[in-house]
Amino acid sequence: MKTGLAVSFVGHAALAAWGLVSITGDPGEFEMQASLPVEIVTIAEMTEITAGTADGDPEVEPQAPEPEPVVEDERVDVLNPDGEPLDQTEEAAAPPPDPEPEPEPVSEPEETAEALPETEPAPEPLANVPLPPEKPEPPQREPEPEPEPETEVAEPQPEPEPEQSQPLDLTNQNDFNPDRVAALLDKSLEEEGGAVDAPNTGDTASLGSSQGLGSRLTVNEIDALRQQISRCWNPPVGVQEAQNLVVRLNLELAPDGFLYGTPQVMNSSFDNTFQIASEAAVRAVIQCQPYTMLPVEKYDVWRNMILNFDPRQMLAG
Amino acid sequence: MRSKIGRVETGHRMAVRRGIFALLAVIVMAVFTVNETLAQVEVDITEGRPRPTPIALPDFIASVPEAQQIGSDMTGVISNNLQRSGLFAPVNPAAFIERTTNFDDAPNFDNWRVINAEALVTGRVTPEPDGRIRVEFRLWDVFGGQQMLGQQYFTDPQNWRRVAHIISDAIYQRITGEAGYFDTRIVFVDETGAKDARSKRLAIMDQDGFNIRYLTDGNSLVLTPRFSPTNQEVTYMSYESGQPRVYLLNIETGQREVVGDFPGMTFAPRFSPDGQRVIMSLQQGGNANIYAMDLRSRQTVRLTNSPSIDTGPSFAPDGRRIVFESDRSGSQQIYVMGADGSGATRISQGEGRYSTPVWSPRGDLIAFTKQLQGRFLIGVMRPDGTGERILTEGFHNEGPTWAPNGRVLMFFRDIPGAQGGPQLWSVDLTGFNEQRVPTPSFGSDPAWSPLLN
Repeated sequence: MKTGLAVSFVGHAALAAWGLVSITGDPGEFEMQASLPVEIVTIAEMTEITAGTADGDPEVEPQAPEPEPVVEDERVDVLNPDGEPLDQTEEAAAPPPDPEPEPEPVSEPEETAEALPETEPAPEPLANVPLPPEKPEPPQREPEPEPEPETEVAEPQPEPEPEQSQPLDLTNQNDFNPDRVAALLDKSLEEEGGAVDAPNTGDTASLGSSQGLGSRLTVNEIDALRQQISRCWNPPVGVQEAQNLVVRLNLELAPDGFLYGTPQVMNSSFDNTFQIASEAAVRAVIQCQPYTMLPVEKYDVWRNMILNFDPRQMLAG
Repeated sequence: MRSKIGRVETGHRMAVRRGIFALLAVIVMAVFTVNETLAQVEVDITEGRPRPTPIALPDFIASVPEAQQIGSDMTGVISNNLQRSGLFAPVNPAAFIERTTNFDDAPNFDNWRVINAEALVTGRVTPEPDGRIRVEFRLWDVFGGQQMLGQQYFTDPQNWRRVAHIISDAIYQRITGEAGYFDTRIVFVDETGAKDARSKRLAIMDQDGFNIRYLTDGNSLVLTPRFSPTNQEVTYMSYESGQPRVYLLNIETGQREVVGDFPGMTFAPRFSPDGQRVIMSLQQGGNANIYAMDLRSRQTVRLTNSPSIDTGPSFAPDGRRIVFESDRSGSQQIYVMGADGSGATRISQGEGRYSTPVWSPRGDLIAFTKQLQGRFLIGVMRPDGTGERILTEGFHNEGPTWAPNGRVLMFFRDIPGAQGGPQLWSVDLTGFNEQRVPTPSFGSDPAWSPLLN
C-alpha cells in the first residue's frame, strides 16, 4: 500500500510534469490553445503587469554594438558589429583598407576548398584548357579593422552581445526561487489558462521586469511575426531540397522591434548546405526588421526569441 | 487494533509525505522548464518565399583604363548567366548608389541594402607584366554584412569569358548551395538551309551561346551528339559512310573514328559515366537491340535481345542501371534494366508514348520526351516510374539533356511553318523559367557537357 501510493504519486506527478513540459514546449500548441485565453481574458491584467517595462529598455540600448565598422548607421552597425570577432574568423579575404593593389587580393584558398569542393573553379580548372591559369593565393592577413565579418554557420560564436543576453538569463534565474515554488504552483493551478504567474515580478528590481509568464504573445501577434519573417525568408534551392535542415536562431530585439546585433545560430549540422541555410535565415531576420507587431508592453517576453526555420514543409512536391 | 490502525495511518502518512516530496520535486522541475520555455518565445517559421535572389553586379573595376572593357564585359556575362538561371535577379545598375572605386575596401552595405540587393559582387581586372590578366572578385552578403567568397584567377586576356563563367559558378554555388553549370559547353546539330534541304553540322558552343565552333562540314547528316563525361570527346551518329554509324570525335584534335564494326546501322550512342564505354542501338532486320562497347578493348556486349526496337539507352550515374525505350509492349515506353541487361522493367505508366529517356546526373530523375494527343512534352519521373511531372509541352519538343547539376534541362523545340525550324531551349526542374538558348541558325539535338573544370 505504501509503495503503491508512492508509486501512484510519483506516476501522476510525472505525468503532470510531462504534460506541462510537452504542452508548453511545443510552439505549435502555443498558438492554438494556451494563448487564446490570454488574448481574451487578461488584457487588463497584462497592461497592469507591464507597467514597469518601459524604463528598462534604455539600459539595454546602450549595449547596442558600437559602430566602428565601416558603416555609419547605427542599425547597420548592429548588424555587423563585430569588427573584431570577424577578423579572427576565417576569412582572410577581407579587403584591407586600401593597401596596394597587388599582392593581396586574397583569394580564397581555403574557402574555395570548403565551400566548393567539386567545382573548385579557380585553380585547376583553368589548367585544362589553355585558359586561365590559376590559382588563388593565400589570403593575406592583415589586420583589418572593420571588414567583413562573417559569421559562419555552424558555430555560433560568442558575439559581442553577450551582455544583452545576460540580463535575460538573470531574470530567468531569479524566477526560480525555490522557496516560492509552491506558491507559484498554486497560482498556476488556480488560474490556469490565463496569465499564469509572474514569478519574479517583485524580485527583479531592474527594468521593472514584468517578464512574467503572465504576458505572452497572442496568436495574432505570433502570426503577424511569422508572416513577416516568412516574406523575407528565401530558402535557396539547395536548402529547400536538403532534408532536415532546420536552423535555430536566437534573436535579441530592441523595444522598437529592431535587432540588437546579429542573430545567433544555435545549432549546427554536418550538411554542407547548413551554412547557406543559416545565412538565409539570418538574412531574412535582418531584412524584415523592425518587428513592430510586437507590443512594447510585452517587451520582456519577446526581447529574446528563438526562431526555428524549417523548410521541410515547403517541399510538398 | 488501535495501534495497528495508528501504524497504518503513520505508514500512510509517510507514504503521502514521500509522495508529496516526489510530486514537489517533479513540479519544481516542471516549473523550471515552463519558465524557461515560456520566458523565451519560440516561433517556427515553416513557410518561406523562394524567389530569385536580388544581386548587384557593378562592373568590375580595372586598375588601368585598358582593362576596363574586359571588366565590364565580364560583369555582363556573369549577370546574364545568373539571370538566366532563374535563381537570381540582377539589380538594375541604374539603381546603384555606390560606385565601387576601391576593390580592397569593404562596401558600404547600407547603400546596397537600400536598393534591396541581397548579394553584391565586386571585382577587379589587372593586367600582369607577363601579358596575362588577374581577375579578382568578392561576393558579399549585404544583409549579413560579410564577405561570402573571394577568389582570383590569372589568365590570358582572351579567356576572360571562361573566367566569367567560372566566377558565375562560384557565385551560384555559394548562394544556392548547388553546383553551377555555367562553365560548360553545348554540342548540338546546327541546321541551315531550306526546310527540305537542311545542311546539318555538328557545332559546339559555350552554354550561353557564345564561342561557337563547327565540328563537321555539313556534307553528311549527323544526329544525336553526346558528350563524354571524362574526355574532350563526342559520340554521334552520322551518315558519313552512307549507312548510319556511330562515331567518336575528339573535339580538340578533330580526329574521328567509327565505333565498333557492326553489320547493320548503329545509332543512339551514349557514353557510360566513366567514359570507358559507349552504349548504342544496333539495327538487325526490323529490330534494334542495345549493345555496349568497351572503348579500350573494343569488346562488345549485347544487352537486350527482343523482337522489338530497343533504343535510346542512358546509364544511371552510378553505372549500375540503364534506362532505355522499347516498343516491346506495343508502343514506345521506358524501361530500366541492370547494366548487364538483366531485369528490364517498364517504368512509364501514363498515357502516350515515351522516348529519349536520360538519367539525371544526380540519379534522382529520368527526363523523357512524351507524345500525347499529337503534342510533344518534356517531363521527368523518378527511376521507379513514379512522380511523373511535365515541364513543358507544345507542337514539338524533344531530346532533353541535363545540365551537370541536374537542375536544368535543355531540349529542342520545333516551330511549324515554312520558315520554322528547331531551336534550343532550356527549362528548369520547376517547369518555369523557359529560356531560349541563342544559336546562329536553327539547332537541334543539344547535349550538355559536364563542367569543364
